[in-house]
Amino acid sequence: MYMRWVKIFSSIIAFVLVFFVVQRLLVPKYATVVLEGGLIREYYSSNFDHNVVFIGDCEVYANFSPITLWDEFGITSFLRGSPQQLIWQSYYLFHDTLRFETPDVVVFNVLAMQYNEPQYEPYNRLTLDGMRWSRAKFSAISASRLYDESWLSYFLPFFRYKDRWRDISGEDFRYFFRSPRVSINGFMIRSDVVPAGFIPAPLPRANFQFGDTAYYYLDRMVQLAAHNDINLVLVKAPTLYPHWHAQWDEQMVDFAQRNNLLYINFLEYIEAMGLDFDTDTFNAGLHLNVFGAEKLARFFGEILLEHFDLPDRRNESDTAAAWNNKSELYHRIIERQQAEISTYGRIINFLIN
Amino acid sequence: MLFTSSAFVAFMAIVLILYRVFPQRHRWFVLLVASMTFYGFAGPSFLFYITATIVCTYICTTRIRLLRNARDNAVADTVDKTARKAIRAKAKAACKRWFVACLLVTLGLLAIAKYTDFVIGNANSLLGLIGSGRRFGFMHLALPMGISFYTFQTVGYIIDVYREKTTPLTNPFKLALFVSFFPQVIQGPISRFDDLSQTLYSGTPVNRHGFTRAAQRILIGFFKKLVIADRLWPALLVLIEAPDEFRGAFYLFSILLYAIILFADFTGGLDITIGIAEIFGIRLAENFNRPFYSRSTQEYWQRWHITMYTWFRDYVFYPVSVGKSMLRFSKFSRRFFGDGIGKRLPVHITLLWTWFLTGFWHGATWNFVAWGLANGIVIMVSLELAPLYERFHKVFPSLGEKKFYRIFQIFRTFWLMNMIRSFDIYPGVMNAFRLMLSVITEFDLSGFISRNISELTLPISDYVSAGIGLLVLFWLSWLGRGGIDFRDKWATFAWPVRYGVVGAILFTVLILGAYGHGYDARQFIYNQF
Repeated sequence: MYMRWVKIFSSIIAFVLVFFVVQRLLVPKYATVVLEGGLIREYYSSNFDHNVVFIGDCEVYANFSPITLWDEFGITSFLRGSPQQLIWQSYYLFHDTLRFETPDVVVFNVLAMQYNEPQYEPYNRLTLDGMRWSRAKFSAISASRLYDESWLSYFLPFFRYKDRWRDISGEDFRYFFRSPRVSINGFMIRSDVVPAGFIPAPLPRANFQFGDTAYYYLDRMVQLAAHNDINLVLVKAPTLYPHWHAQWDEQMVDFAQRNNLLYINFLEYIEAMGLDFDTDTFNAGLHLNVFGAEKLARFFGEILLEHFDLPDRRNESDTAAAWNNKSELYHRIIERQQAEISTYGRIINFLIN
Repeated sequence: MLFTSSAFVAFMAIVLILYRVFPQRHRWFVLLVASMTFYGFAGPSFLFYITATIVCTYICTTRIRLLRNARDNAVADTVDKTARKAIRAKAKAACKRWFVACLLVTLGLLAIAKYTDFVIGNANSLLGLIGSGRRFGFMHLALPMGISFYTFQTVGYIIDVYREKTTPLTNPFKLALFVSFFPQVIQGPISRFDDLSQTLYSGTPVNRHGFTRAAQRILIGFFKKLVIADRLWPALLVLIEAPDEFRGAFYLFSILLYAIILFADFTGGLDITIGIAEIFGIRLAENFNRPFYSRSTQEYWQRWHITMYTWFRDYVFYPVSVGKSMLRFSKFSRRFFGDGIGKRLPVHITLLWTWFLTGFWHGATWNFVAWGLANGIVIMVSLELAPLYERFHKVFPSLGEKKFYRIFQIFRTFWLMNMIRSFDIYPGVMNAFRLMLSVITEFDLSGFISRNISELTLPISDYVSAGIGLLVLFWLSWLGRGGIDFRDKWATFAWPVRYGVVGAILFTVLILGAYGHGYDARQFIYNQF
């Protein structure tokens, strides 16, 4: 009898152990490809002390430099952005953020308003896999799941990534115990330049009205901000593509007016910021590179200070020490990338280490 | 609800809990409710067909039982021998009417659901041939799940009742469970009532040992289905969808793939079926006995889809062989052709008729008819050549014992059956013939090698994973030689080894199995029949 239980327990423990070892091996590490998959998880290793939190899609994590906001204005910030982050995912990330801190300002990039329903499973995973388990994550998964996405694969990512056995490489072993760092406060540093050349024509649309679901979550975001005494700012990042239609902009202007919110369409300030899409973008106008992101942060920092009573935290010694380290690292990474570009013609290592 | 779906796992968990909770004498009822629920998941409208089959069978077999009771009472009360004979004859005629009516309804339902469009299609072709512009519209009836399997199982029961080999059930719900028992309704095995009823209604408690053994069998089933069959299926699809491009050596590769896939899919499905039944203490008939080791076509059919083969043998071949019409034809044949051919001709005709029906049972297309007839012809030819073989073996008496000759026979049978299966996978009978011919006319091995099959169909990693699966299958087959259940062999291993083997197979299924995101869950091949 005793032996039977020994057998059963040892087998279960062995199975669970092997399962989780294999799962850890198979789950993508986002160290060399699709580094964006590692962005969301990085928030949880921050100190949860940010005056401004940015929430949104790729127009967030590539376009605003938190280090410039610090260096020039003493604003502490974090970008909670991921590729094609849908509005309900942003809403639940806002919720998730409130579990750890209450920032003075939350900035939401409104490009995601164009999507009224779940789009593409791999993008869902890039956002949702990185979230820590909480009610917010449950709700985010519920709102985002496509017909072929199972709950089980979110609880046990093994079932989503089991086919990666084909692609197991050195990085899966290298980052078995620790995840690679891909950003500084959610900002992905890209100092390479691919000038904007041909911009595709806007996709023809029969209807420019944002969907009910998108508005529903935007309303909830407004309520959540008001409830927590947070200033919500709506922005449209200055990228040339995907096309931001005038009809969309009108709706956002109208929404901001009705809800007494600050809405800034940075596309209208390209010249004022000094953005040059020959030098300030790393992928032909879709995203800004670090130099463009710094210009945007400088411009936006002024606006933030003008509208909100944000403290200059460079006088706080502990905060300043931590942020100055970040700033130093940030500039070192840019120098390393520049060196790689001049040697190899491209960036070799995108990681922050 | 696919066996390989998470919904089925949840369904099984609920059924198991209910099965345990209910008192032993009522457990069969839990299985009946589960079976009907499972069937309802396939499509609530399909419940009409299976219910009609059950109701009709119950009414007819009950009438037969009552008629026989009345006959026995009347015979017991009658002294006169002639009167007794008359009572028996009258009862027999009445029973026959109910028997025939029952067959007409049950087989009629199968015919309507499965063969209506086939008949309409052929009628339209005939109208076209005679120049008529008239065409009948197709019905496009959805084929109820497992209708061929449960109909044949029911027909076997009706015949056994009529032949007085089986006492008909008095409880219609027990009959309903026999017809619809959920693990086997999808793809068999085609059980005999006398075998299945021994354990079906007993409500045997689930015990740890039985559960473990059943789980091992189910695990192997999942392994075959997900690691081998479903992994290789996309490669086969590429090859068979372009028969004009993939000929010669490619064709041989296709039929080899199909043999592997069909074996893994069908035996895997049966392993899951038998394993699930075992959990409830129900014993189902084995359907396979290492068929690819067969040395002749006859032997192959005694090892592959055994329950179907024996069904056709017992309920078609034997009755037709000894039927009045065939006996009359036999007399005529001997008189006309002499004792040699005249004696064999009725056997061959019965054989071909049986195989025609076997093919037709598989599917309502001429391809399946050709497949059935091809099997029949091969067996017929080998029977005809038997004296020649005998003379050959007299000249080389020790050849039959030689290992290389046995391997040659296995190889020959394997490829012969693969060729015959071409009718099963390639659309159009003539297409299959053309591809067979292409092995001779345009083999083109260098073309096959240079085109790199892993680039055309699946990445090499998929072939590697399926290859690992095949190695495990060979190992299991080696363990199972001599008719021993592989689980009995496993039981002899030291427990860490045993648990290690099960764990390794489980992880192979979990990692290499073709399921989850990016895969279309595929029903078992035999489900379409």
